[in-house]
Amino acid sequence: MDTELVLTAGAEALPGVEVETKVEEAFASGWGVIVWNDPVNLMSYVVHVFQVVLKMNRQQAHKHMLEVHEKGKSLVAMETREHAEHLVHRLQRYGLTATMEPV
Amino acid sequence: MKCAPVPDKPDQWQLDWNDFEAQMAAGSFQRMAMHYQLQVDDLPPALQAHWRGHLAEAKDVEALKEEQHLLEGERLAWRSERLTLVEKWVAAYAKSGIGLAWSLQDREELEGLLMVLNDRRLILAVEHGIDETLMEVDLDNVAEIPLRQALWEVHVLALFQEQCLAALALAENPETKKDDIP
Repeated sequence: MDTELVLTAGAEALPGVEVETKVEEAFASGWGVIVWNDPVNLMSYVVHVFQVVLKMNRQQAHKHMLEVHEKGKSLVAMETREHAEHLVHRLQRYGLTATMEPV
Repeated sequence: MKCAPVPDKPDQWQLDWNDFEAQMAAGSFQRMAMHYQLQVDDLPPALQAHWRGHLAEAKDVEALKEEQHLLEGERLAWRSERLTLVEKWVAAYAKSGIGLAWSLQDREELEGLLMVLNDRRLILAVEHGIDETLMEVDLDNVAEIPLRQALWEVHVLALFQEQCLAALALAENPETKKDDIP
């Protein structure tokens, strides 16, 4: 009887843990949005896109643009998985080379 | 080319072109109209890769398979949205002739213009293998005529983009002097 109870509890607990983990992952700001340097996009255009998509002020946008230009990439946002994906779509819509990665 | 908000209609934007600029822009839009109509599967591999895009670096691709598929679908849908825009602009050019002024109905259309100009520049870069070195090269030193023409178009379209971006920055912050815009 005792054994049966333990087994039942264990069987119910496992999916619960999985769901909880997935929920935690979905809401954790553990995804970085990276913008990569490319030879064509204008500096002024990149600043504009950062302001429109990422709601940066001009100084922040300029700082990240310079980082992209000089270091080859810049981490422009830390978001939940879903929101990072949304931002990458919007940045790519403008022709920027943007990716997401777990950080 | 000049870009400015229409007086008393702040959401509308007017583009004034000289004859050369209008012909140049219309030619680029016509080529983009043709490009957007092509099936992606029929494009060279480098352009197919450009249009499909990628969401993550190789090490993270496996974890984002479903999201990558969604991104591809969205990127391909942009082509038909932008085709509608360029067809509208080409029709406006055909109707008004050269030396024309185009009016863009709202900010969204101006953003669309920036994206289409950028698409043309990016596609030329992919087609001709234009890298940072070629972007800096003196065009007189480029012997291959198609490459020279592509570089020239990339630079001229950049000037159109710069004009629109400067106008947007000035409209959003009238205190900004044009020289202060990075």
